[in-house]
Amino acid sequence: MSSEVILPGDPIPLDSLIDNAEDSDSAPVIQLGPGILHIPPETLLPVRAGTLTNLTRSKPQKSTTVYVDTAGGRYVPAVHDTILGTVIGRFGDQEKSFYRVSIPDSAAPIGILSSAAFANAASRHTRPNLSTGATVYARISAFSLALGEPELECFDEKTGKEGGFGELKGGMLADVSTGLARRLLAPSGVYGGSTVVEVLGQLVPFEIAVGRNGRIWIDSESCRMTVAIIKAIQETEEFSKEQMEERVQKIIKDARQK
Amino acid sequence: MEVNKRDELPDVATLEIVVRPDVGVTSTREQFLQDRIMRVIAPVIALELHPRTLIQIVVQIVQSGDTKILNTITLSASINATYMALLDAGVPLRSTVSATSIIYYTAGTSDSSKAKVLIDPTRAELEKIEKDIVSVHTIAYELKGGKIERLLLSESVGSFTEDQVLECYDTAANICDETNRTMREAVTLGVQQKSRWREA
Repeated sequence: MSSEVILPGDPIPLDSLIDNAEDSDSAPVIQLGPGILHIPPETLLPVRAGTLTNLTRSKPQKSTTVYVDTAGGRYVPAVHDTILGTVIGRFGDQEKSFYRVSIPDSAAPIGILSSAAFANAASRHTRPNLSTGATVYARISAFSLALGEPELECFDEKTGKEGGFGELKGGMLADVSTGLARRLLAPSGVYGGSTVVEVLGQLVPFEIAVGRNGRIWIDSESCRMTVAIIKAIQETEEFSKEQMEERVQKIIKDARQK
Repeated sequence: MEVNKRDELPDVATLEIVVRPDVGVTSTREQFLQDRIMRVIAPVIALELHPRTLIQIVVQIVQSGDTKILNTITLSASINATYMALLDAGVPLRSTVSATSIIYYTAGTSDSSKAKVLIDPTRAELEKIEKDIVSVHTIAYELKGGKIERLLLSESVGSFTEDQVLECYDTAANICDETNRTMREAVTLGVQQKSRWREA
């Protein structure tokens, strides 16, 4: 993994990227990730400012993924992303009804959630009844920028069960940067992002849901603690591990004392 | 953002630029700035990557650097600020942009060919020479990989010769190059700061 800060329009040093893949006999395979625009036949144009990152993987096929890594920016929906949205309306008839879900600060601000897209929603009577203002944790099941509204689902795509999706009751919503949201969702240890959740988890029991659209939902023993946990996560975004641990411990201790 | 159905374009994003003045209500001056910023910024944004959406840019002037009769410093600063905002928001862009203001003024002499040059002046500097201003030029360049790619805006007011304009282009190219480098440094610093958590 190499990294270098680039701005839109800068040349991408393809040679250094292809080098990694050249030891195999087959032609190098380059996959383009977010932030890089391909102008046929062979122009690669970075369209965002950030760190040019390349990941080489050997399975299932030797390939190099090139993308521009950014810490913030506006959320652009993508299929399989989990998001936190707010129900803002309902349309359709009793047989077939849909919720309109607002995805704030997103490139596509309104998602459509079918009332049948829940676990155990085969019958009309077992479908959840969400009211306007309800917070939902959903997954984007279909989206294309050209078509507009993302389609949402509230069940685990592998098992078809609830899997934590659906309406979130109680708790509190907070905004974080899209970069932090991505880190919080990364597997522990790999990306170093969810470490703050692990540190917090050792100090206080709480529930967390992270939406890729830069929103987190937290519920814990008390309102005061919930606010403290949100503060701890937001504040320590740019901290190193030691700084973060120290700060998190202080915030939680303060919240307990008062 | 969601676009007004009337303004929705099927294959590209709609771009809207709003300039808010520091004092008073919006006038033709703001309309002029909006128009010029639009002309510089629109060709740089990869609008086709976000069809049927709205990219809204609000430029709030905090303190106008210009004296009453001029628009140049506000314009060049707005262009630079708009570009940085787009970069920060992660809006897809094709290249980098920088703008600069160049002012010719007579220092006592009435011969306009011996005019002195002032580059990106502050308001105080401007007020001092206000009566001697001969011509004002606002120039924006598009840069790719730190190299000047094309001229995006050349806005001149006053009396000037062809040679002066050409000289302006050369001077502006150097300044824009430098602004671009400053921009790159700032972005690099920002990116580094945001990835500090990676260490240890």
